[in-house]
Amino acid sequence: MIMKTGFPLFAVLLVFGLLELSQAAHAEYPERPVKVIVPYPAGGIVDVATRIVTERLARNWGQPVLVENRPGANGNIGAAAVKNAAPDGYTLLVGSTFLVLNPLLDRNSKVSSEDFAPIGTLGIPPNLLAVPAASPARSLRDFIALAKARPGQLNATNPGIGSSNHLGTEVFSSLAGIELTQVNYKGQPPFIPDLLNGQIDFAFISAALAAPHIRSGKLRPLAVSYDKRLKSHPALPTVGELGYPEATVLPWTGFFVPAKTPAPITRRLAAELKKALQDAEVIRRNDALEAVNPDLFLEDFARFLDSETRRWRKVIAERRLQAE
Amino acid sequence: MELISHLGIGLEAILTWQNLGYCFLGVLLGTLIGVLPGLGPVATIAMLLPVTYGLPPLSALIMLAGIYYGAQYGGSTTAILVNLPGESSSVVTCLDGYAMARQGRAGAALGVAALGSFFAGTVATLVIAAAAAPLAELALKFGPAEYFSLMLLGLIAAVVLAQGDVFKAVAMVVLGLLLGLVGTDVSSGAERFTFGIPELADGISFVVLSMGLFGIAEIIVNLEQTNGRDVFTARIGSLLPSREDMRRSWKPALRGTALGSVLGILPGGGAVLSSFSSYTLEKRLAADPTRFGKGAIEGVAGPEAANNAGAQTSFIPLLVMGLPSNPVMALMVGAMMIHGIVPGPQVMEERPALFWGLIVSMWIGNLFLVLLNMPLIGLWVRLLKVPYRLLYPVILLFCCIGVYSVNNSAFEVGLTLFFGVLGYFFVKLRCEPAPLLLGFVLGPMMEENLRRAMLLARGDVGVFFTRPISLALLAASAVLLAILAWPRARKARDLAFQE
Repeated sequence: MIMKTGFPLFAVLLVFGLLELSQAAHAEYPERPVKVIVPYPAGGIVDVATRIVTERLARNWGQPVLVENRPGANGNIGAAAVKNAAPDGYTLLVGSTFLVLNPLLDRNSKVSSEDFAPIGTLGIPPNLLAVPAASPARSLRDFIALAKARPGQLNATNPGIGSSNHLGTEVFSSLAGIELTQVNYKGQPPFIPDLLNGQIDFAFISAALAAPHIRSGKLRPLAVSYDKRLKSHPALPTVGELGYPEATVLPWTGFFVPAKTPAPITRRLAAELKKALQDAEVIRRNDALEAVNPDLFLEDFARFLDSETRRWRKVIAERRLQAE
Repeated sequence: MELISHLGIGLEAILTWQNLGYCFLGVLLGTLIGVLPGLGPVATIAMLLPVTYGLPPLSALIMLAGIYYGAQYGGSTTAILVNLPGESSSVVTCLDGYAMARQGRAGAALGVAALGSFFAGTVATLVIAAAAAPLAELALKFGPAEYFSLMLLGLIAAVVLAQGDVFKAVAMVVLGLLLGLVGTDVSSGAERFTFGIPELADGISFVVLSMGLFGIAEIIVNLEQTNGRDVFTARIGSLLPSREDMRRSWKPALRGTALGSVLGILPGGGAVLSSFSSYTLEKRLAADPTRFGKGAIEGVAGPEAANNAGAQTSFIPLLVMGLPSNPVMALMVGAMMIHGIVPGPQVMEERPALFWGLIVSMWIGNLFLVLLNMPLIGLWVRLLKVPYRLLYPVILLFCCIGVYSVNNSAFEVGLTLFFGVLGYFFVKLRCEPAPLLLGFVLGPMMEENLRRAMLLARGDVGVFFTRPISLALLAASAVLLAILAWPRARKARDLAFQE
């Protein structure tokens, strides 16, 4: 905003100048507002999961933490913006599985996980394997038997190529030796009506989106695609318990900074994130979202990213998932 | 009686100074961003999400909902005054509303829009309170086949919308379909017409297209006129609709409300379809359809009532099933989740004060809006007296800010200017942009649902004819096509009578 008269502008500069001086004295990060770029639309699951943490960070730091939504091109636009930002810890990216998958699926992808230094994971709802209430399948074993009896005739959803739901469905089908027809949608919410009214027979669906329909009895969860049971569904087995540990496909999400960010800043950010995640209010809000967190920070997170890259390179080659 | 006790719970919840205050704040903000071209409720609600952290959930939701339907009121103001549709649903208001403004009847158009919207809002609130659950069940019956047939009906209606040449209208619809294809194909993940530009990977945004084709093109055309300082007649005329205006408007408003209440429930194109189909309906029913596009008040009253009713009932799928039917509703889901409320059928039982409070707040918000907007009409109309050379830079600036605020993308601002120039050529070629926009909105959804329906039916076309709702919609399309030829016949007959 440009001021017309000289005086207010001067006053603003003066105030900022003084702030600058006073902060230079103890020069502790962060000394100005921090920007967090979410490469998805506002109000989506990743956006909500991010704001749960940024709100706590802003209070801990006494500095505004601005969440900026830069959706588009499956995360590439927001990620490219952070990749080119100054590596000073003031611009963070909320990265997700797309950082690993885009380079594997699209040769022209301009960003990859190697452009960033990982800070730590955020809480995110895992996927559930679910069928509509009218389905005769009472358990995952039932569903597999059903699908084997009718190969290619049952419909599953695919809310986006390379999404955790898509990959989860592929891996699970391959492990169980079943063949499902995948129907494409733009994101998860649009497929819910077709799943509830039975036109779709099976879905890998985010626990946050499935919860209200499970409670109203319209949707039946068969398993959770995570290595621990959910607090909200203690009776629901994990895919590992049912014999398909490989079908654990978490839409993991975490903070990243540009690759050249100095180590003291990444360590500081990781410690701050860890502290924020232990806050009672943050835990309560994450629970309400059905979120789980593998609690990976810095080096552990980096090792996890490497294993993800190896894992998906193999699956994509085996299942021929690359878009032409 | 249950209805009254429910409304009682809601009334009790909302009648606190705090909640009434947030309701008023919401509709005031909504009106403002609606009036400012380009700034839409999506960007505003996204910016306000963090602010709602500190509020009790009901106050937060009341305020955010107020912004949404307030913006519908405000959006029609800009559409009428300067031919800028802020929302897809106010595109049709431009057609006759702006024509009225140029004839010095902006006050009447604004008045009818406000009163029609209030009436529609009141009825739609009652519809939500009384029939939310059964209506949501109806929406669940809409599968891919039904959506395809509905979109087909909408596209045929788009041709009826056009003022002049049917051939040009068809050409514009097809161009709209092509523009709608830009982006990543849902089924294969392949990119189409993106030329390797990542900003195009998710397609062209509606705001960009409508702002360019309507707003910017209009400015260029106005500046071109040599005597051009006075775009509007100096005579402002009555600020309020006359008795004659009201007589002409009440039936269209009633029909628009009914259409909007039903179509608003459907995800995706509901709100757009409701205003477009209301306009088509009024044009069909009018004794003299040639008045449409030249300042027919029915063409404002019907669509305005329809889009407000649709805006209200689009809360039904959200509140009853947790399914967002448009981007604003998706944000409302986010706002609820921030407060730890997962929207869905259980909200009604577990948090009745929240559920019914929100519904009652919609009626109170509509009341605030009409009280706020009627006195403002005089102010808005006086705005037209501002010399155009001062007005247009402001409009341009707000258009740019508005477009930027949607995705924080400078690329989209440039794209808007491109469509502005394209829109100018359309004006020169006497091609209407409205059918293009409808083709643009409906085309991609139609393709998506066609392919999905065919995949689910394993390639059997019969699915469109065996599902009853789909069959009924296809039959309606056929009837509409048949009567496309009718006005020519009727015109000949009218002439014969005059002889």
